[in-house]
Amino acid sequence: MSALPAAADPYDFPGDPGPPRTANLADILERVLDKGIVIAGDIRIDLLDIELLTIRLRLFVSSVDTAKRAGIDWWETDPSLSGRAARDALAEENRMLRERIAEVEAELPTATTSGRRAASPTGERRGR
Amino acid sequence: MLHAFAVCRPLPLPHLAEVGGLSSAPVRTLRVGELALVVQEVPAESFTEEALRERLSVRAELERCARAHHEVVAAAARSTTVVPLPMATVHAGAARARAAVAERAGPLLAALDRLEGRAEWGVKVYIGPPGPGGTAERDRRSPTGPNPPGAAEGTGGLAYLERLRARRRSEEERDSLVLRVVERVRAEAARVAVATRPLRVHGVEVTGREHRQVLNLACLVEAGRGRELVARVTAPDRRTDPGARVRVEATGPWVPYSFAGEVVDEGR
Repeated sequence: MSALPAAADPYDFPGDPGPPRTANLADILERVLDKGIVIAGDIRIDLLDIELLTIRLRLFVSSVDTAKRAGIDWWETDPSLSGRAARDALAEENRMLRERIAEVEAELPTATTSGRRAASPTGERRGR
Repeated sequence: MLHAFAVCRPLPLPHLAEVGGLSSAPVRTLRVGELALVVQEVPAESFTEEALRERLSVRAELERCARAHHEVVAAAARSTTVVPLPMATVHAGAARARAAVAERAGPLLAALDRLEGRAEWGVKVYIGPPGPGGTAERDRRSPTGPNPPGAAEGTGGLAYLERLRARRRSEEERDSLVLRVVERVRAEAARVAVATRPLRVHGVEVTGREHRQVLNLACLVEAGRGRELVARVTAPDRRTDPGARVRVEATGPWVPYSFAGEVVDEGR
């Protein structure tokens, strides 16, 4: 390594100065969205300004689907997500589950009731 | 409205002239005491919360913005140490941007000191399907096994159990291989890196079903030791991985995105 010429560049791959430009999207997204220092996150703002932290968090929520398809799902487990984002995610999951249950129930209304009728006498016989 | 990309010391950043950023305006720096903020004027109507939400929900647009942000940060980093800011850090104007930087000048300067002369490298470990040399495969083909060759493909109960057992064996084999490989790669990385930090592993949408990512590690490395890190972590290890199922990939050098925030947090 010491044989390499000392470059003005802070990195050490000659012929490849600076961070990779062709990196895959997932590598870039997990860095530019999730990492770095948040400045002014706690600034009080007036109506014409934009609260940076709010924007950042809402961005996360709104881009969940897009970034998820890129393979990143850190918001599902990241405790630094806002309470609102977490609530939104939970509410969305609840909604989808309720929909799914409704679909399943709609598909099997007769099977469920007849199953119950059939099971009951069998159970009584066994009990005797 | 101003979009902020990174903070650095007030030095000339000639490479900013080579990047487009997020609008047609020039990318420039704002001097804030001992610091400089890399900014670009952006059209206010495209950077309202609503507009951002809409645009960044479209994958192509999200990718364009992320790459543009990354390019500006990288261009600044070619001249000096930078602390990157997350994408979509916007300010109503220069006065607000200056105030935001001034408020956290101390931690930002400390971050620049800590990151100076260091780069981030990404180390990712993938595990692929078992090759023809895998134990499960060998057993199934073994002429001395309890069943003749091809029995595992049968439809009987015994064949089913045999298939189940073979699958479990291959899963156990895989899990133990993953543990050993991840342990080795972590240890090799730690010998060179100043700090390491696990990132969340990428899903199969990125890696493809055949190759599961089992480790995604960010490493902070002194300039001049990047090659050494890459050589160490990517060196094939026939003893641990005789079937060559494991692939280790190194990316970098990156601006130390994954270590910028941590440094500021340490200073709190």
